[in-house]
Amino acid sequence: MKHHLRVRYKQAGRGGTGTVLADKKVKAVVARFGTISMKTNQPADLEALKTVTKTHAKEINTLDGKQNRMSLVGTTHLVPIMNDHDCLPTHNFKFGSHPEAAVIGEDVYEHIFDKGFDGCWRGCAVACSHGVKDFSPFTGPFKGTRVFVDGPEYETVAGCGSNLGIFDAHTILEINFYCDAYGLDTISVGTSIGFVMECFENGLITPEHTGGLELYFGNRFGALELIHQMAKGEGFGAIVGKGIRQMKQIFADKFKADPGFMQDIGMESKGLEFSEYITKESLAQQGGYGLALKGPQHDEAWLIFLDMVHNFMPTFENKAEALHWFPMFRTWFSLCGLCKLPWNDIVPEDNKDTNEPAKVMKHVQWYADFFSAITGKKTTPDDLIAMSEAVYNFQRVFNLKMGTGTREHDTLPYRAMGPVTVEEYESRQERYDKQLTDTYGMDISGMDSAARVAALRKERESQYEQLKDAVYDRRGWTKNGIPTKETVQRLGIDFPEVLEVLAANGVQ
Amino acid sequence: MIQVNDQPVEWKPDMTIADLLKQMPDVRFCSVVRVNGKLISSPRFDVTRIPDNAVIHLLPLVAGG
Repeated sequence: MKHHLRVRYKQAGRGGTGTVLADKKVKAVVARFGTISMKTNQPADLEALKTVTKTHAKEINTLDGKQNRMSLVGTTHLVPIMNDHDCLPTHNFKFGSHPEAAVIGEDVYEHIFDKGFDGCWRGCAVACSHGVKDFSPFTGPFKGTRVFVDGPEYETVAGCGSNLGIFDAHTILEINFYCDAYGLDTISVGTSIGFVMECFENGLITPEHTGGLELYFGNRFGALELIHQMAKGEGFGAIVGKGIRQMKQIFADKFKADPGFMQDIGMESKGLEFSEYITKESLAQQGGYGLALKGPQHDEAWLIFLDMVHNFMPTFENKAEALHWFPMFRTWFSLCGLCKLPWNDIVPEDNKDTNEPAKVMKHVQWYADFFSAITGKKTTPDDLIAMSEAVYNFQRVFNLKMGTGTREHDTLPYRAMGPVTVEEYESRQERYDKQLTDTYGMDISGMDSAARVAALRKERESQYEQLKDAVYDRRGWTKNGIPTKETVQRLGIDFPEVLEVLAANGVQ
Repeated sequence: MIQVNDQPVEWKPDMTIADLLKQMPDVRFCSVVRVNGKLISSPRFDVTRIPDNAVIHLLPLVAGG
């Protein structure tokens, strides 16, 4: 079985699991397993499982080639789409598009990806995970050798490419390779280095602080050197490796950098670096990031297009409903250890004719069918949401116990909401001017750009706070973002310790 | 003649993607199309002309990462 000889570098670095394991002195976890089949989980109804599996796989095989072509290009199709819609992070999330974005999108990677290595596991019908064999790094300990690179997918391209001003497909491959080899999350690496580069270009840090590195946007050797230093825990890279939240503190304390400006441009919340989407024009996605339990990660809610492009959720109540249902359903994938791509990255041809096309309910029903077939318990789509809701609220209470999990922790850096600088404002001046005049009814004729930045900021920050109120209300939480006693009782998680935590935080 | 989601549609000179979508039923979630394999996003629908004999697929939903 020749195809089993090549090692794939799947990792789960996002969210800091590596740090948790390191803290527990765990060096590695080795799992051995034999052949996987439909009988492995001892399904209650094997025939029903076969039926829904065959139906879903057939649809994927029929439609992926017509839609996103993930079996050929992975998720790199998102690069040009996000760029065209001004959502591709560029230069530390300052902008959402760049003229050179095409050279790091699907048109390029389709020809670089090796055709022979697809899929996270051999049974996957989507097989969007691609790789590049015989890649020769030009830096680091593997310099000049031939290695296999597992990826990149969209997040890595955006985070370690456009967000750093690096429009070079091969440098992104090298960053991808070393992040995997070192066990680093490409999202946090990319977003952290983007922050460093903007600080450098603004003079908040200098070569004196960086060990001589000129960390301007587009400096691919500088970015790679930082990653090597991060892995070794040496030099300036050791500081960068601590992440943005700690960098802000260190830069302010040791380098006397402006803490206010760093708070605005440091793309982290709850200590986690943002994944790779510009959210300035989507209030719902600001909530998708800011209200996510573990920080700004899109695996709870990705609502940018439904909100910004399709205007599918114009009211706060609409947005709050979306920020209830989507996080719950996406959480269900995590509960079951499933990938979400077959849900809504391949869409049934008759989806537009269904009652709730945004939710792709035909597929949600199939997931309920999968669950029913495995467990023998008749399960509906609403049951899936209920499963998640109990876990989700329990996690929120856990956050509360650990000293977070309240309104103040659901905050965002202002760059996630709007233009921080005059440069950003003036780059999309027509859009922002129109909002100030048409949406907020302001006379801006006597205002310079700085005043308009401030006026827009006041409105957008207010909108975000109103969104929090609406979402907390929909989720059954207090104004401070804490599940009410009635909510934990309804969900069956009113354990004594949960009630103690609530009581300690003023919820009786 | 062009093919749109595997169905024949009459082609007209200078026809843009925006023109095409106006005559298609319920395309409210369509913000990206593939024209002969190339992705075209909604900000370019008005200015992208469709060549005759084009094969077009409407991407029904952009769902993100």
